[in-house]
Amino acid sequence: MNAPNLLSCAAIALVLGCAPAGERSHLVLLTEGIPPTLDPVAADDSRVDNLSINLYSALLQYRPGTTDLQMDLAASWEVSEDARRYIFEVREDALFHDGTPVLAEDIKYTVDRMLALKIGVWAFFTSVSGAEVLGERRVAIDLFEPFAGFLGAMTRLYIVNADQIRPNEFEGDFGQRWLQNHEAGNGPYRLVSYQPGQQITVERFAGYHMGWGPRHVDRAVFRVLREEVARRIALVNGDADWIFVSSADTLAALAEEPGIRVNRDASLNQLYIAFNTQSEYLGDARVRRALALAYDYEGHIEHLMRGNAARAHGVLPAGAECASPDSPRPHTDLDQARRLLASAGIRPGDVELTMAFEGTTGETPIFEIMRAGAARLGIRVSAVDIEWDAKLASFSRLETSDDMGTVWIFAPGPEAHHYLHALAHSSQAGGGGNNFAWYRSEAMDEMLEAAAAELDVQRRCELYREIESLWLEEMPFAAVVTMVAMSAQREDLRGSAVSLGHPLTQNLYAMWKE
Amino acid sequence: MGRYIARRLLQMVPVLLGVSVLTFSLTNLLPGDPARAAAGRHATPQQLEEVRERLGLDQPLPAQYAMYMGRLARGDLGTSLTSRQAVAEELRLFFPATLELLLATMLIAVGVGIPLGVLTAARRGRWADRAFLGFSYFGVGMPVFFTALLLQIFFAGWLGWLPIAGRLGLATVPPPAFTGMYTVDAMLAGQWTTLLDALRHLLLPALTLAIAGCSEVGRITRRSMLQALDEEYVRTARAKGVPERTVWLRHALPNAMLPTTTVIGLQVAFLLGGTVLIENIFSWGGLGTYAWTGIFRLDIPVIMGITLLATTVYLFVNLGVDLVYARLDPRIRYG
Repeated sequence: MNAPNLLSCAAIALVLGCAPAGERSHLVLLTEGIPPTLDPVAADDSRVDNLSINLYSALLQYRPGTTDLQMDLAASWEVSEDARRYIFEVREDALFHDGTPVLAEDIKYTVDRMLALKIGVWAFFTSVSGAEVLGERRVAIDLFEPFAGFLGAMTRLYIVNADQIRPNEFEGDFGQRWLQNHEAGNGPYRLVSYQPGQQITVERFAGYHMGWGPRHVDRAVFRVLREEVARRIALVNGDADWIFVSSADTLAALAEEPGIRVNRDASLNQLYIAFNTQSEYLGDARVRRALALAYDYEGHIEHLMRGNAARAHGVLPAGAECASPDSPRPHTDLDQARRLLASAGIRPGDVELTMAFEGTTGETPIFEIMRAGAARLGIRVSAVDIEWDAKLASFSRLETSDDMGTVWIFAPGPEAHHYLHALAHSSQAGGGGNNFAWYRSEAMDEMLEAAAAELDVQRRCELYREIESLWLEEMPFAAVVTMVAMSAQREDLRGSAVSLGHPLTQNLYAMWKE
Repeated sequence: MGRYIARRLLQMVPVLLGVSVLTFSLTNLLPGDPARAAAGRHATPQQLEEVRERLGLDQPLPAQYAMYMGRLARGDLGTSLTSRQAVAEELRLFFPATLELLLATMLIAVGVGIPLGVLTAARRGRWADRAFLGFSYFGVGMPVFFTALLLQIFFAGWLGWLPIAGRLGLATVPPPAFTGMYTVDAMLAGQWTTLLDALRHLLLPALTLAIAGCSEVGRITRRSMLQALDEEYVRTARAKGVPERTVWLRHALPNAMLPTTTVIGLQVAFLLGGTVLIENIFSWGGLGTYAWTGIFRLDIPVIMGITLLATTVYLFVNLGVDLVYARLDPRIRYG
C-alpha cells in the first residue's frame, strides 16, 4: 500500500472508525454550567443541585414536577406544639453508597456542618438553631422561631455520610475540599467518574431505599457543553437525550425537528430589577414606581422570549404560595409614569442612572428594555455589564452599589418567604444579601417576620397581601417576568419534568427511555 | 551555547516577575471580593474577616504580593479560593489536555502550512496560489469561535463524521494516566480503540485552531520562499546547474524558514489565548476551561497560576525559536 492510500485509510478509519460499541446505552444530558463543586451544601446553586438531587437524598422531597412534599429518607416526622422542634424518624432501609446505614448521627452532622460553614443552602435555614440525636434513627431539628418554609427548605438539605467525611476533613473545612470532587451520598445514583469541566458519570445505586423498577435509567452522563448550537446539534444527531435550552429561537427551531420534543415548563424563577432606595433620585418611591411602569413587560415576553416567560402575580410568580390571580400584574403605563415623575419634581433630562446586569448570561436585552423605557421618560440609564460575583460584591456595600440591578430568585420552594424576605428584609441589605435595593422599612420587616412564623396558610397569605400592598407602594423592586424553563429532548425519553423546587435540574430517578 | 541558554533562563526571571506584578495588580483592581468568593455568599461579617485574615487579604497589596512570591519561591502556587485544591495540582490536572491540543494544532498548522507555502510559491499567480491566498484571508480573519461553530455544524451536525465535543466518547474509559494526554497515553498503553476515539475528538478543536495558524504559516512561508528565490545564491545555484528541486529544498527553503520559525513561535501565544474559547466550545477540560472558571469566580491564585504557566511556556517557546535560528542559519552564533 502506498503512502497516499495509507493516509486515506487512516482518515476513513478516523472518521468512520467512530464510536465504540454501546456508547448510547445510557442517558446523556447536556448542560450549560460547570458545577463549582459536588458538595451538596452548595445546592442553592442549581448546577450543584442538579447533581445533588441524583447523588443524595433529603429527609423530605418534592414529588418530581410538583411542589407536593413526600417522605424521602424520613419514615415519619412530627412537629412540637410551639413549632420550634421537628422530629424525624429515618427509614431503616436507607443506606449510603458505601453500604452503611443512614443514622440520626448523619442528620446531625449534616445540620451542624451547614450551620458551621454558613454557606450555600444555609441561606434557607437561618431559622435553624441545631440538631439533637434522640435515638439511632431519631433526630430533632430545632428552630429559633417557627418558620413556615422549613419543610420546603428541607428538600435541599441533602444528608451526607458523616463517617466518610470526617477522615477527609482538612483544617476544619468539614470535608469541603474532599467533597469538591467526591460524594458521600445515599441517593439513587452514585458517582462513577468526574472530569472537571467536561462530564460527570453516574450509575444506579443498587441499595437505594426507594427501590428500582425495570424502566429506570442505569447510567447517565451529565456533559457540559456551553455553546447552545453545539447542544442543539448533539440532540438532533442523537448524541444526547436531553439538553438545556436558553434561547427562545433555539427552542423554536428545535420544535420543527422530527424526533425532538421541546419542553416549556413553568418555573418559580423570578426576575426582579432592584431600585437602589438610597441613591439620589431613586430615594423617592414615585421615581421607582415610574421606572417600573416604564418597563415593556409585553415586549420582553412576546418578542425577547417568544412567549416563553410569564408576568408575575403581584410581586410573586404564579406558582408561588399566596400568589393571587387578583393581584395587580406588572404593566407598562408611560402616562402614569410621567405623572409620577412630575409629582416628584423630576423633569426630562434631570436624571442619569446606572444599571448593573450580567451580559454573559443574556441579560443585555433586559437592560436595553429598561433603558428604552426610561428614555421615554427622559431618564438616561447607562450600562454596568458585570459578572454575578462582581455584582454581588458591588451591591454588598452601599457606596459601590449601582442605581439599578437585576436579581434572579431561584427559590427552593413555593413559599413567598423565599422571594419577599430575601429581597425586602433589611437584614438582606448589603453583606451578600439579595436586597440590592438597600430597602429598609421597620413595617416591612415586622410583616415579613410575622408571615414567616405564621403556620396557618390562610393567615400567612393575608399577611403577604399586606406586604404586597406596601411593596407596590414603595416599589423597591420591579417584578419583571417569571422564567419558563426551556429544554428539549429525544421523543423516546420519558419522565423528564422540571421540579419547581429544584429549578434547572433533572431528576434521573423519574426518567426512562421507551 | 550552554552559556547562552543559561543567560536566557536567567533573563526569564525578571520577565516572570514583571508579569506576576502586573497580573497581581490588575486582578486586585477587578470588582469583587476574593474573601467573599472564598467564604461563600452568605458568610457573616465575622467569617469574612476570618477568611480575609487567614488568606492574608487584610494585608496591604505589596505585603500580599510578597507573601505570594515567598510561597512561589517554594514551589507553592497557593490554594484555589473556590475549589480549595492546590493550584499546582489543578494545573497538573488540566495542563496536559491543553498541551495535547496545542501540539496537535501545531502539527497541523506547521505540517500543512509549510508545504502549502512552498507549493503556492512554486505556482505563483496560478489558481492554487490564488485559492490559498483567499483561504488564508478567511483563516486569519475569521474569529476562532465562529470557525469552531461552522466546523461543528458541518462535520458533527450535517455529516455526523466527528464528535461534537469532549475528549473521549461517553463509553470510552480514559487510558492509564502517564502524561495526561489521552492520545499519547493510549499509545503507550497499546489501547488502539481508545487512541482512535481520542484522535476523533481531538480533530475538530485542533483543526479550528490550526486554520488560522496554517494560513499564517503558509503565507509567511510563501512570501519568504519567493524572496529567497530572488536571492543571488539561488541564481548562482541554478547557473551551476543544480537541479530545480534541490535549489528549492536545499537552498531556498532553509533560508525561508527563518521568518516562518518566528511566526510559529508567535502562534503559540495566539493558541494559548485561543484555547480559552475553544476549550469551552468543545468541552475540552483543559487550562482554558480552568482559566474561564477561575476568572469568573475571581479566584486570584488560579488566575496567577495560569498566567505564570502560560508566560513560562511562551518564554520557553521563544527560547526554542532562537535556538532553531542557529540551526537554520550558520551565520547566527550564540555564546
